[in-house]
Formats: sequence, structure tokens, C-alpha cells
Amino acid sequence: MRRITYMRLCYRLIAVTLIGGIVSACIDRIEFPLKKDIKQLVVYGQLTNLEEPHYLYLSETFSGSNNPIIVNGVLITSALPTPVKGAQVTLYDDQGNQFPYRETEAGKYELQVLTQAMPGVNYRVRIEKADQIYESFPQQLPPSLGADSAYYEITEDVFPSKNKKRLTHLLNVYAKTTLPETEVYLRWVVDEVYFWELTFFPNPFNKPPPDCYVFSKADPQRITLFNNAGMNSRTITNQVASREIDASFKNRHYFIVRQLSMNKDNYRYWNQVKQLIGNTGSVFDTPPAPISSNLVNLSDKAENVLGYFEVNRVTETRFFVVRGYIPYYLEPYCEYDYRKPYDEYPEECITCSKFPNSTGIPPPWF
Amino acid sequence: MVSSHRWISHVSWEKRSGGSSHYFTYLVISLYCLFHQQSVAQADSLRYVFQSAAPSGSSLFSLTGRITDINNQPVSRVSIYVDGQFTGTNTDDQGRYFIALKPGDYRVVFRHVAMLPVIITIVLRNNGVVDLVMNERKFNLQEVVIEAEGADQYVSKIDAGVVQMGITELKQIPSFLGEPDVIKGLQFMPGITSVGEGSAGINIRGGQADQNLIMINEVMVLSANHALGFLSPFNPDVVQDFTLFKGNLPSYYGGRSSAALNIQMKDGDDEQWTLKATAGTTASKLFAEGPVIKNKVSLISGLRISNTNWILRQASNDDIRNSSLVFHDVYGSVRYKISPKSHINFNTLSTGDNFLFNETFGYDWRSTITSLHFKSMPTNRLALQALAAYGRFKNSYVDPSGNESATLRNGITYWQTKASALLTLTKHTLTVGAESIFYLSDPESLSPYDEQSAISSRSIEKDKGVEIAGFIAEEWTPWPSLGISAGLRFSLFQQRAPDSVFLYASGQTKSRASITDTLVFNHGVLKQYHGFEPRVSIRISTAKNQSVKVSYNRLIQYIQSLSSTTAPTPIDLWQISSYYIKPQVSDNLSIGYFINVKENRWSFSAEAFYRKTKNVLDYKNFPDLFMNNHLETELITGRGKAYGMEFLLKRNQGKWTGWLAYTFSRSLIQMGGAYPEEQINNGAWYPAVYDKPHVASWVMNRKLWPNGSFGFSFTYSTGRPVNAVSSTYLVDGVSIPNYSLRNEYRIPDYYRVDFSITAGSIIKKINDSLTFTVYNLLARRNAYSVFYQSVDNSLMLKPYRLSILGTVFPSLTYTVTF
Repeated sequence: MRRITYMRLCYRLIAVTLIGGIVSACIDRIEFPLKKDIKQLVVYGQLTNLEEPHYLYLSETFSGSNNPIIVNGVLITSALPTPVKGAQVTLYDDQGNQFPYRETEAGKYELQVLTQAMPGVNYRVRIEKADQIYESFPQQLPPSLGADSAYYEITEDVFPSKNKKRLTHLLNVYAKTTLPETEVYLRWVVDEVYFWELTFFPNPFNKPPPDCYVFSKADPQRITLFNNAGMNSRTITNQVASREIDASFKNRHYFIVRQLSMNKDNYRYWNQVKQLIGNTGSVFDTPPAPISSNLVNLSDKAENVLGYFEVNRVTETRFFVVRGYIPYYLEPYCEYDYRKPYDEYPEECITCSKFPNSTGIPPPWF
Repeated sequence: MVSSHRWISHVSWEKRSGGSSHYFTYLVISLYCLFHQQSVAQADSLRYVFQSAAPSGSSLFSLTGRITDINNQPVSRVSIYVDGQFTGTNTDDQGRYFIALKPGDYRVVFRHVAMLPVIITIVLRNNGVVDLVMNERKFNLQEVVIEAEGADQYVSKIDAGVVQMGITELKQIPSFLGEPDVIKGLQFMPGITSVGEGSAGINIRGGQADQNLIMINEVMVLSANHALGFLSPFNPDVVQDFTLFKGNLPSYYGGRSSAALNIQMKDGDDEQWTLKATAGTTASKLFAEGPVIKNKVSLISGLRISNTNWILRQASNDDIRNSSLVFHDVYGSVRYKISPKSHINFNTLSTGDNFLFNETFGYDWRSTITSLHFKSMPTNRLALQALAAYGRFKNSYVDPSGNESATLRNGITYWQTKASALLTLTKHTLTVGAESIFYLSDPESLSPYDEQSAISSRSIEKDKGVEIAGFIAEEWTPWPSLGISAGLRFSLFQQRAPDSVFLYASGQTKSRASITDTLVFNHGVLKQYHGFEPRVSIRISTAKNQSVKVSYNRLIQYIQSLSSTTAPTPIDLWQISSYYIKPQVSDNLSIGYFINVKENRWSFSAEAFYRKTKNVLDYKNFPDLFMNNHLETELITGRGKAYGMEFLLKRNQGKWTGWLAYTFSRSLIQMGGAYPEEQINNGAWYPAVYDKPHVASWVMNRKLWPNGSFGFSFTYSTGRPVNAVSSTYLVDGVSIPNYSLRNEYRIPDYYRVDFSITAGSIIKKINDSLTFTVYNLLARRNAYSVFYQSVDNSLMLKPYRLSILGTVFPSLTYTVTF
């Protein structure tokens, strides 16, 4: 009897050990030491066929006040690039016209005069910063794009979260696209706009909190690309965003699916970005490398400028979701609770400015 | 007690000088062995007398012979030591040996790791022939002392940088999931590394994985990748032994610019059947060998099938739980003995792998190698050998989801023929022969995965070519203290029509945009490359037990693998040299010092090497290698260099055996093309992805009473080079990593401890064994790579360490033999 018990114990131990050592890759957050800082210009600008404000953003990696953190004598990546102020930015076309940009915020430049890109015209942007001049290669508005219809599905998924699993409800956005017969290079981005309800604290005048409309990107790290070369279907469907359902769905929540048609080089740029951010460290990863932009420093062509200035033909498809569409109970978040002290409310329940891109004025279509 | 004592010696001396004394010796020994439980030490009583009827006046006599096992199979690499002589020698692949000795009385020792040693005494007054049958070593009750294979071979062989290992020695190394593996086992030897766990291939003395010629029975193998690189396709049950040439490649091997590994498979037993079944946590195996017609036709077969999916089902990670990994390999060999000195072998190895990662992507790769070998020994000094082989490797990549769900298929077929003659004279061993390989790449095809896919089917033609080589090799031992191995190989490669070649605008880098015209070849040769490949190795024995070796090799490589990933993968493309892709040419130098002490109980070696290679291939950033019929637009050419020092301290005999190895080496690449797109790191030298300056390993094994063993291993290496993210920036809301120069940083250092315990006779009256292996005992999360991701919608990308085998991996393997 004693021997049987011992054998059982042995078998159990072996089984536990075997199952405990199941093949599974481990991923740990680490700090990776860097030898030196690198100061590089980052440019992102977009000119589209839509009548909308057109912006160009300028920043620098590891510059100004944004010095890398030194930990134990080594540098680590610390923060995002800092805005470049006071640059002179001008858009040129091949008709001899030039259109200035005006700096509206630190590092944010808005195109003046021209409201939309015109077909058949080559555009290039010129940036003068300190004693350096940067220029983009000329681009034209692509001739065509697809026709989108957007829809969503609600699913649930389980994510690991600090020693336990967390059930999460997701709203997945899809774009069903009818493609043109000509060759197109497409990218989709999804913007979202929602009304955020700040906490209504009781007050003598029963004055409600101010309106808060939040503008942001839904699922910004998802890059959805499509090129119809070598394809035999005229209709495709892509998942273009996946958004966790949270308190932002308590009120009307808009999704704007933007389909951007671009030229081949522009598409190659985004394809390289997609490969880089899709790397998971496995043996199948694309070997990482710096991505070349379409801007050059005219006095130092070896300088590696980051970012892109793109000219896109764009179409937008918009839909909204309200609370009633969500088949799940949404936990109270900013609701007033008389038992809760004021300083225990999350900051975003008190002030709209907690959201980096928010305003009290709704878009006209909201 | 020594269980196996039926060893026989027989002498063919009588044909030359009368044989009564020989027959008397033979009779005495046979009777002695029959009636006594013969121990090894008692073998001194084997005495051979070679007398001349009349004084010959010769100052040197030859002692030759052939060593076979009880199945009459030649035993290669038996080390032969003659007491009082400077150096010994080893048997060749045919089991033959040759020693020139002055007249006298000698004590000669024959040793092999898998065989019981045989010790004889000879009285040499004439030329003599001693053929011996060696018995396989069985570890039994009293046998707790083992000896490593041919312990003195590293000192006595002329060739430098040769690693020889038998399957017995391989099994002493604790292995991943309890499956001994040739490729993984070699990584414990100095100068041999890999990119990391789970990556296919090995890097030898700073060479790329595809710069190694891998062969089974001298037939080229293109895919040595099994189970996503965790195993190789060589089932240890059917492997006899393997030899790695990392310093001096004999001229009868060629076609790669770094090293050659020949895996010798077993022949089936001529006399009795053996069946073996193995159940393990990773794979199950069946093995059978035996005579179809006794002493005429024998068969050996090994089957290995994975059973990994039940393990994946236990994973907590959904992606892994929903994945599947299936692999198998089958080896079969039939040997027909035409006469006692000639035979034909028919061998075939078929492997298959299928991996599907959570319906996200999948790989399927299959390999077949079939060969026919003819070996003959018309005389005791001449051996003839010929082979004809067919090889096929095909792979596919599956993307089963989305609009672009598709299957991409690639493959290559080759036909190899080789013939050689080996002549053994008093002080010379001469090999001459020729070899040819015809390569035919399959058209690369892309087809829709299912009806939902928007992909349209298409394919592109790929290249074909032929590689022809002639070789001559000579081993010359003018004096016992000096041995010279010299060889010359002439190789020629032709890219054959029909094919077409794109022409590019001058003054620009090759790109799709710079194509100006196309040359179409309907027949004949598109491009031809050729070259002489001299091989020289010199051994100078400074004492009986020590030697210095120097070697120089030139190697030319006409086929290489193309990979768009960090490390070799199962679906890498094999690309032959072509109009724009020149063959790689390497020049290799090495010098080494070898010493054995305490009667070969201990060995020590120190070797330095230097290699420079031209026409090394790399890729432009973000290469597009698939469905691309102008691959030259994605490739860049440069040069490489590698250098280093290797140290090996080995204990060959005793209760504990094993070794301690340390290597310092560097492997650097320079891509300094004429255009910025053809440069990496602005044309400066940069470390290869497998460059690991410091690598150390420690392997120990102890026989346990009654018939078990304990194995322990430790390995350490510098972290491999990677690109790090120097900053993160935003473009249209997307956080993008800004990478440093190529391989500018390194991941943290790697170390791992493994152990294994094998116990025999688990169930009484059954010949069985149980092996328990623990891989990564310390559960160290060794980094395979560092990658960057945004978490919780953070705009900053943070570095993460991926550990492929970041925990303890225990395994159980049970084997029963009938």
C-alpha cells in the first residue's frame, strides 16, 4: 500500500512537471541600453482631395528638452520626439504656385490658401529649419480609389492581465470595398469621435459640466493595406479597427473609416512600417531597418529623414454606435456618487483637456 | 562481466609467408574466448608472427588489414596505436588501415568508442595483414569505465579541425525533449553556434548556415530543419556516426564555403533481427533491422512521428493552443552483398513537417533523398566507390486568412552522381574522383488559399544549373612525425537555358525601375563559373602524443539559401549561382596544437582560424524575395571575414567523461556597394547576426550502476547582435520604431544547464530503458530577440525580450528493444 502511494506520487510529480514545462514562449518587458542619442527630423504631412484642414507635423528625436534618460550610465528610450517650432514650411506645385503653412501649435503647421489637392498636379513640400532645407519628392493625387461600406461586429476576447485573464468586449470595424478596375494602392485609417460625459457634480445652480467631444484614432497601430495587382476579385473586406468597448460608448460614438489611395512608393513606405511594427521577435521577423522617407536634406543627402509627406485621394465612411447597440452592461465610470470624494474621480471625469485631442464643439455632422 | 566476448581475429598472412603459426594463434584465441568470459585486458594474448623464410633485407614492413564488426561491416575511425611509435593511424571508411614499421616486436592497440578495444602483439619480420572483428561495447554491470571514440585521433590525423562523434557519444549529451540530435549535439563543440533556439542550421567558424555542406552517406541534404529547427531530420536510431570538417575539407567534398558534415547511416544487421520501439513526449519511433537473406541482403528502417500537439493543447496562450506542429521522418536502407568485398546500398530518407500557427500562418516543408551506393575492394589496397542520388526539397507558406489568403510554393530537385577510387600504398593514400550535381528549381507559384481569397494564381520560372567537379587527394606520411594531406578540386558551374536575364541601366542600382531590356536564352549556357580549390593540411608531430597542424583551403559555393527573415527558416529559398549572383569563394587558414596525456585519458587542443569570403550575399532593406523573377534587385554583395580561437579539453576515459570547450571568434560582414541602397551601415564592417565572440560549453557524463547514465551540460554564449530602437516617432498616429544601424547592439548573454538520467532494465526480462531529461534546468529566460511594441495604447514603443524556451523542459523517453 505504501509502495502504491509512493508510485502514484511519482507519477503525479512527473505529470505536473511535464505540463508545467509546456512549450510556450516567454515575453518580458526590459530596458534596452543605448550607446548614443540620435537627433533626426520627423516629418508627417498629408494633402488630400477633401476640403479639410491639411496639416504637417515637425518634430525631432532626442532633441531639446527631450533628452534620453540615463539609467545606470546607459541611455534608454524615454519619450516621443519633441516638436520643431519656427520652421518655414511651403507647399509648391508644378504650376509655379506656392502655398505657405502656418504654425498653429508647437510643431503643427496648417496649410494656408489651398483647400484641397487637384488631380494631375505635382506637389512637393519644402521645409526650412535653421540653416537646413528639406524637400519632398513631387507627387500627384492618385486617380482612383475604391468605394467603401463600413460596418461593425461586437465580439469578446480574453487578454492576459497581470497574473489573470481579463474578458474584454471588442467592437470590430470592417470596410467592404468595391475596387476600381485600375491599379490602386490603398490604406485605411479609422478615426473616432465621441461625446464624453464629464461628472455632473451637484451645484447650487444645477449647472451641467461642459460638453466634451474627443477626437482620436481607433486602433492606431493596425495598418490595413491593399493593392489589387495580381488580384482577381473586385470586392474585398478588411477589418480596419478593433476597439475595446469602454465608457466612451455610453454616448454617441462615431467611427470614420478613411480610405486613402496613394502612389506605389507611398504604399511601399506603409508596407515597411507594417512589417516593422508587426515584428514579434520571432525567427520569422523581417530584419528591422530604418525606413526611408520621401524627404531629403538638400545640403546633406545622406541624412536619414524620418516620416513621409503624402498626397492622397480619400473617401470617408461614417457610422455611429450608441449605448443601446451594446449588448453588455457598461460599468459606471464618471457617474456621480455622493459617497466618493472629489479627488477620487479620475481626471478625465473632471476635465475634458485630459484627452489630448478634445474640444467642446461638436463636428457639424455629429 | 563482459557480456559480449565473441570476438575473432583472423590473419591472411599465410598467403605470403606460410601460415601455420597464424592458424595456431587463431585456434588458441578462439578456444580461449569460447571457454572464458574474456575481458579486454586479457586480449594481450593475441599474438601474430610474420616471419620471412629468408632475410628480406628490408628496413620497413607494412602492417595492413581491415577491421569489421560482427556483421562484417567495416568499422571506420578505429584508432590504431603502436607502442613505441610516434603516432598511430585510423581506419578509413572501408575499415582499412596501413602502418609502416621497422622489423621488431610491437604491441598494437585498436580502439573505437562503440567497440571493445583489442590489443595484439606482433612479431614483424615481413609484411603482414591483420583483419580483426571488433565487438560492440555493451555497458553492463561492472562496466562503468568508458572511453571516448578514437581518443588519439585528434593528435594523429593529418586533417585539422575535424570533429568526429559516434551516436554513443551523442547520446551522452542531455538533449532537448530527450531526442539526441546531430545538429544540436555539435553545438557543444568549439566553433559551432546557431542564431538561437528554434532557428535552423548551425554556424561553423563564423560561416552562415547555408555555407555548410550537410550530407548523409555523402549525399547532399538541402534541408536539415525539422520541427521548426528544434530537431534535425536524422533519426539517431539509424545514425552510425558523423564527421564534421570545419578546418580542412578533403578535396572530395566541395560546394560550400565553410564546412562539411557527413552523417554516416547504419547498415542493417546481416545476421539477426532487432526491433525497437520508443515512446517519448515529443516523438514516437519504430526501428527495425535484420537480414532479409542472411549474410546477403540486409535491411534497416527507422520511423519517427511527432506527438507534440497534445503538448500545445496544454498551453495557456490561445495562439499556441490553437496551433499545430506535425513532423515525421522515415529512413530505409537495403544492402545487397555482391561478394565479400563489394556491395550495393539503396537508401532513402523522407521527411515532412507541417506547422500552422493559430490559423494565422503556416509552413509545410518536405524533403526526399534517395541514393544508390556501390562499394568495392578489388584488392586490399584499392577501394572503389560510386553513388547516384536524387534529392527533392519543397516547401510552402500558407496565409489562411484575409483577402490575400494564399499558398506560396517553392522547391528544388537535384541529381547527384559521384565516383571515386582510393588507393592505399605504403606511405601514400590517393583518392581520385569526380562529382556532378544537376539542380532544377521548381516554378514558384502563388495560389488562392480558399474561395474567399482575392489572389489570382500565378507562377514564375526559376533557374537550373549543373555543378561538375573533379578532385584528387593525397595523404602522404614521409615520416611518422610528418603527415601531409594535399588535394585539388576543380569545380565548374553552368546556369543552363532556357531562361531570361534582365539588363539594367548603367550608373544605377539594380531595381525594377532600372530594367532596360531582357536577354532570352532558349538553349545553352547563360553563365559559367569555375575555379581551382586547393586544400592542404600538414601535421607535424612534436612528440608521440602531440602534434601541430596547419591547413589552407579554398572553397567555392554555387548554391545558397535566401531568407527574408532574421534567421534561417524552413521556407528559405535555395538559389543557385546565376547571371548576376556570383559564387561565394572563401579562403580558410587554420593552425592548431593537439596533445593527449595520460594514455589518451585527457586531450587538449587549441586551434586558431581565419577565413575571408567574397561574394557574400545580403539583402537590401525590406527585400521582396518571393514571386520575384529578378532577385538581383533585392540582393547586395559584399565580403566577410571570420577569425577566432578554439580550445577543447576533453576527458576520454574514466567514470566521468566529457569536455570543456571555449571559443573566441568574430564574424564580420561588409556591404560597401557603389550605391547607398547597396550599402549596409554606410559600408562599414558589421557583425553577422550569429556573431557571438565568447562561447563556452561543458559536457559531463557518468555511467551509473547497473546500466544507466547521468549527463550534464552547461552552455554559455555572448548575446547575438540585433538592431535596437533608438527612438520612437509618430506618423499619422502610428508609433514607428526608428532602428539603429544593422546589428549595432546585442541581446543579453545566454546560458543554460541541462541534465539527463537514463536507466536500463526498467522491466525485468525486457531490454528497455527510460530517459528523463531536463532542458534549461534553471528556467532561464534566455533572450532570443528583442522587439518593440506599443502596449495599452501607449504612443511609446517599449522593448520586450522574447525567450523561445524560457522555462524548464522535462521529457521522458521510454525505449524497448526486441
